[in-house]
Parts: sequence; C-alpha cells; structure tokens
Amino acid sequence: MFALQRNATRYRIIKNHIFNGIVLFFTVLALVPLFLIVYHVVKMGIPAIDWDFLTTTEAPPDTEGGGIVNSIVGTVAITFLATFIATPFAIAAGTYIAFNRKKKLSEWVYLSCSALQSIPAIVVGLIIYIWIVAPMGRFSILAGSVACAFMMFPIIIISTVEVISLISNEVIEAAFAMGASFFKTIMKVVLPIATPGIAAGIIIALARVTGEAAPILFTAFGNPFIPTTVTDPASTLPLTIYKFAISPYENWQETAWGASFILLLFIIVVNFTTKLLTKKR
Amino acid sequence: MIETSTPNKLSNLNKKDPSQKQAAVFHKMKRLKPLSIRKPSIAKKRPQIKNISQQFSHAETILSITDLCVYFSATKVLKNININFPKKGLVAIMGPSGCGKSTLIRAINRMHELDQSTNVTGKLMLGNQDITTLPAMAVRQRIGMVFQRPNPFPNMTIFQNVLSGYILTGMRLNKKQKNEIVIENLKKAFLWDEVKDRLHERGTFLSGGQQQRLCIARSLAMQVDVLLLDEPTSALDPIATTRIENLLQTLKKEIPIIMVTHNTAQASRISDYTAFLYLGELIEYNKTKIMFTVPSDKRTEAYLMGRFG
Repeated sequence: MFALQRNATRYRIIKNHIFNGIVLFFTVLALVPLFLIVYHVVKMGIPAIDWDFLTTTEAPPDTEGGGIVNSIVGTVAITFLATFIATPFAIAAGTYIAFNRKKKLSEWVYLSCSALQSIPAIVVGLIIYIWIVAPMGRFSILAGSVACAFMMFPIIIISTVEVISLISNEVIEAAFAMGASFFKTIMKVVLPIATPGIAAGIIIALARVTGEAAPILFTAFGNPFIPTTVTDPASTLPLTIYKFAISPYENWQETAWGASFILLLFIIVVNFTTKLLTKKR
Repeated sequence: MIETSTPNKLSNLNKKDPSQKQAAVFHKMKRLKPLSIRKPSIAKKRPQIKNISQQFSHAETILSITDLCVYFSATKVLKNININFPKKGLVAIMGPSGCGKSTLIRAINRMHELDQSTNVTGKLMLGNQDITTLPAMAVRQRIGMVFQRPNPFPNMTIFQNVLSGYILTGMRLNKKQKNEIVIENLKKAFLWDEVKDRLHERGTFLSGGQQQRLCIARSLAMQVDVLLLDEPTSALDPIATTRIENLLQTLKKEIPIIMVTHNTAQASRISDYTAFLYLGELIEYNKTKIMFTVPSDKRTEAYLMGRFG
C-alpha cells in the first residue's frame, strides 16, 4: 500500500480558486465587445435622437436635421407583412414534420430548412428580384416582405417542430383517444400548448429580418418618403444605416447613428420579450 | 454394525431396535419424489376451462374480439386473441411486461392506427356492431381510455378537461348542460369534493391521483360503452392507488371496465374476471376467484406464484 497524502488540500484549494478566476475573467472578457458596441451606439446615437428625428422623413444631404420616420414605417410594414406571409406556412409545415418525423417528405423539408437558413440573405434578395421585382417592374414593400418571409420561414419551422416535439406524447394520444380528429387535436390541444414557444420562434425570426439590409437592397430598394401602398418601394432601418453611414455628409452620418440606436433598442426589447414568453412555461 | 451388514442380519435388527427402524423409514422417504414433481396429482383437479369467453351469452357480451393479431413491422406481438368481455364487471388483463397487455387494450381503442408501422387484423364487435369497419374517431368516442401516466390537457382547466371530449369532437353544449356534465362526472370519479372550489384552475395543478381521476371523469363524461384503463395506478403512490381502486369498484357496477395491470394483487382485489397474457398469447381467462385459486395452466400458476414477471 502506498501512503495516502491528504495534506495537499491547501494547494488544491488555491488551484481551484485560480481556475475559477480564469473562467470568470474570460466570461467577463466575452462581454466586453457587447458592452463596447452598445456603449458606442448609445453615445453616438442619443444626441441624434429627438422628437423631430422620429417624426420627419430623411433630410437632403448636407443640411440640418432630418428623421427616419420613412424607414421606421418601411421596417414595420415589411417585417409584419413578412410575418403574415411566413407564419401560416411555417406553422403548418412544422406541425406536419413534428407529426410525421419518419416520413421522407419531412426529412427533406427539415433538411432544406437548415439549408435555407444558411443561404446568404443577399442571394435571397437577388432571387426575389428576379421573381417579383422584375416582372412587376418596380421595387416594392411586397417584394421586400417576400424576401424576408423566405428568411423567417426556416426559423419558424424549426422552432415549431421543436416546441411540438416537447409536448408529451401522452397528451396528444389522450386527445386522439377522446375521439378527436387530427384537426381538432392540433387546434385545441397541440397549438394552444405550443403557442408561447411558437411565438418566441416568430419573434426571433422577426428580430433577425429586422436587422437585415441585404434582402431589402434588391427588393424594397429604399424610399425617402413614407410609403403608402404595398407596391411602393420603402426604406428600412438597416438599409438607411447602410446608405447614410457610407455617405460623406455629416447630417446623414448622424442619422445613421440614431437609426442604429433605434434598431439596437428594438432588438433588445424583442430579445427580452422572447425570454419572458419562454420563461412562463 | 459394520460386520452385520448382510441383508439377513439387517432385517433381524429392524425388528428389534427402534432406532434402526427409524433410519430405514428415513431411507425410504429420501427415495420419494420431491414435492414439486408430485404436482401432477393436483393438476388433475385443475378446471378444464381455459377461456371463459364462450360462457357469456350474446346478450351478456359487450365486446367480443375474434382472431386479433397485431404486428409491429414484421414482429407478431399479439397472436390470435379470442376473448369476450362481459357487460357487467371488471376484467383485469395481467401478464409479465412485454406480453402485449397494453397492445391488446390499445387495439380495442384503435390507437395503433396512429403508428403506420403497426398492423392490426381481426374482428372486434362492440355490441352488435363490427367496430373495425367504423372510422377510428367514432370508435374512440364510444370507448374511453385512461393511460398509464395521468395526462389531463395542460392547456385546459379542470372544468374544460371534463368537457374535453365534447370540445375535441366539436359537440356544442349550452351552459346548463356543461355544468350538469361536469358536476355529475366529477362526482362519479370521486373528485368533486376536492376540486369544486377550483374548477377553473388548470388540471395539471392537481396531484397525480387527482389527475388520474380527472382523466377517468373525462372519459365518463363521453358516456362511453366501455372504459379501458392501461395500468392506471402504476405511476401513483399507494394511497392514490387505493382511492382509484375504490373508485373502480364502484364504477364497475355501472360500466364495463377492462383494466391492464402488472400487479397481480391488484387484479385479485378488484377484478371479477382475469385474463392472463404471456408472450402475445391469451393463456387463460376465467373468473378471478377461480384463476387465483386453481389456475388451469401451469404458466398462470407460475406467474401467480411470482416465478417470473
């Protein structure tokens, strides 16, 4: 038998403390870029923001003032229209996949969702340009929405499948055992239980497309005025930021910072809403 | 003694010495067969009836199963089951795990149709109707099912859970009917006193035993012809189990109940008839009292004595 050494305890405690310290240090370090970004955007964005900034359309270059209301209206219109287009399809597809996991069709759809998710946004924009913008002969909110819907589609499908898969099989069986049809089971049991999760998925998808400039570039194009119909071109916040930030005019650059701040604020709010939604259950 | 080992001398000794006589008797006893091999003499007294199904007249039968086979992909899980369930009383289906108890009960409720790899053949008569020709939805409305783990609908209140059969099949009820159904069936399921003040809370906040009684109430509310229970107490504690058993003993006077259980003691406590399944075959089906005292099949006896299962 070898002699068991127990007197190294103090050394082990110190080593443990050091390790804990290293882990904590790198955790904090990972937060630094986030805080720097938020700090910078807030510092540059806040001065640009006042009531006028939120209520007037963009100013001509090299003048004073100007706002982003046209971009806000465009963003809201495009993301909401995109959500309305994508959600019914995505929930239906997600439900089908969740209930027919073993079928070839679901495997294919699930696989293509993952692929669709990784297609660059600019390529999606290009395709929609060929499909919708070119035949219609004009850039429009509609085209922008369809491009965004394409990007939301896989995110909502995957989250729907995951949420439905989490529902215990016994509850679904119970519904069938009561004599319910597939339709009633989905409408009265599965979707009500899955709603918070699906809503979270939709919001995540919404947040994602709100921040994308690429699919809008070729489809909604940008518009210095408030769009009135879905066939009008429109600006969105990311597009405005892109256009104004690379311009040489000081007032446009300031507007870009203000728009960045608004966008960041929106994304943060959306993220917290999702957290609240998913926490409830 | 060693020198007097000739047979002649031994017989002489037996007559004289009592201790020698005792040794000889012991020697004789050792040559007898051990107790377990002597069983055939008891087996002669075994009842010849292995399946009581034929003794139920047509009027007494609620559900009659003929040549039921269930295949999971290529595996034959249930092998030509022939069984009739009586209109009155509780039938317990018992057997070791994997013998096909749940498969049988799920076949009655057509639950296997949810899984495409499962194939069911055979004839099921509910009363005078061949239910294999009816749509599964219609059959399930007439045959209630309670599962192993309590599964009230988590998105519904207690009130809605009792009415879930009506909600899920799209039947409209007015307010008065709804109240009547909920009160009547919660009372039937011995749950009314415990939940009457919180009917509009979620069913999932109840305890396991209460949830299971809620599930029973939910099936009763549909005025089913038969109630199927798939190991209803296996996920519950002893007190909740006792309450469910008491409930079933009251319910079986009103409605035929078919219950799967792996607990032989439970089967003997509450059932009127017992069916024993082993490896997908119906080994024996008889009155519980007869089966638990003089089983007609060796396998039943071995199972009841706890030699396997």
